[in-house]
Amino acid sequence: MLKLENVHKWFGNLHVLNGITFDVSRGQVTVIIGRSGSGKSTILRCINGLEPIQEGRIHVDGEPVDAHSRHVHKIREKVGFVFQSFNLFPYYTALENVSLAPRIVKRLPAPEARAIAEEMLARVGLSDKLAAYPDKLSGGQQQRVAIARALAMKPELMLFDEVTSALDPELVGEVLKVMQDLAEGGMTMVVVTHEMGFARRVGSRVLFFHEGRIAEEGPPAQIFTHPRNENLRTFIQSIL
Amino acid sequence: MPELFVAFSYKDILFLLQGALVTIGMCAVAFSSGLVVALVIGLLRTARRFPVLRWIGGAYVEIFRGTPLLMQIFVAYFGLSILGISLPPFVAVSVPLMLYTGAYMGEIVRAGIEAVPRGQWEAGRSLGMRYRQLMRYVVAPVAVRVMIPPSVGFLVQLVKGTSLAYVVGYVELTRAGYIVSQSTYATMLVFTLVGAIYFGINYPLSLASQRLEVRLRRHA
Repeated sequence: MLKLENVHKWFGNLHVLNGITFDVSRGQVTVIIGRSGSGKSTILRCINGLEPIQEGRIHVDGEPVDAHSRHVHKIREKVGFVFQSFNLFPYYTALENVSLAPRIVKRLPAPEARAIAEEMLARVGLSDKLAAYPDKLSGGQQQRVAIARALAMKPELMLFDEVTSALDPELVGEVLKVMQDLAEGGMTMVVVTHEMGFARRVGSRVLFFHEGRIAEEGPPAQIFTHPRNENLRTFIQSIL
Repeated sequence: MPELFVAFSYKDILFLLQGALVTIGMCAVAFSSGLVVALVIGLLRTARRFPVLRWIGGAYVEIFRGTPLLMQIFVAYFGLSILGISLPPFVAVSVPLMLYTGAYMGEIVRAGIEAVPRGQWEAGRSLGMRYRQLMRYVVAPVAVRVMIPPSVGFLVQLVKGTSLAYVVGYVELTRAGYIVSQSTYATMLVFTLVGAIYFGINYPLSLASQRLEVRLRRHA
């Protein structure tokens, strides 16, 4: 489904991704953890071509991702992305936020796009907020709209970039719940997060990023209870 | 005192109002055509991946903003006629006004586009939108709201700028005032009236823009 081979990326002189290689198979939930600056968000942005890479290869569903290609939008239609800062469109209602891309990118007729949007908003528990503008929604609700917006494109892969980091603690749960439901529904996901409980419960496996490399990987049980890497051990201690 | 106004009649007022209509017409033509130019310039100026396009847009803005409008009108009218190209006065005035509008409004368009947070672009891109779709559905709704106050500011400037058309003998509001004052000698009265008419055109524009701003701000 997703294949990364020896991916390198520099920001100026900073070597942010230093030979990242991993595969994600269909239905798998891969959780990426690590300190800020370890390259974990950058790798997500590279997977859907928001950031170019300088070396290596990324394939989604067998197709190469090239941020400079004119066809990169074709791949993005298959890859949903949820941002830390929601990034909802401020002048569209929740329903319009979700139905916009199906309507203009997939060119579905308006009633069909609307039906999909209603279905997705129901899935994230927001059927009563269809007509609400983002500024009238709580952070947790906004993030759930953002998830519905990505799901409305019927993606084959969902990327989550620290989606609960900007939320008040009491709102984190509702968003994680939606993500867990999705995972249980068989969605292929790559999740960058600091929510270790979520990583344990939902992750098929965990990748620990350190200074642009995958310093350790394994099933959650092993990562959290028997970390081998020294940096991972101190990281887990600092988080718990 | 009364004899000063002997020659000043309702006909003169009609003449001034006709001039005002010409002024409004010229503005409408210059502003609407200038907006098209501005859109192109704004898009060129914000072309992140194409430095050449940015440079072309920048050069355009610098040239038309860095030289007096009066001189641009002179060139379009007298300059071109020396070269054997003679433009009718309306065109000789409207075209420079359009290009001038393109430069100033182009910068306003650019500022509007750049005011759209990066996260909005990325959200649109991540949904598979092409540049055009992104511009129309994601960037424009935010950018247009940012652009309204400076655009109205510019439009008011443009209404007054059309008075420069008098140099090519085109009878718009200022020229009409000049003609009436020559024939009636009621200079003070006439130009006070002319000023009031300009104000009467501009003030409603300001009011309309304030209303529009309030209406559009409702969701943000």
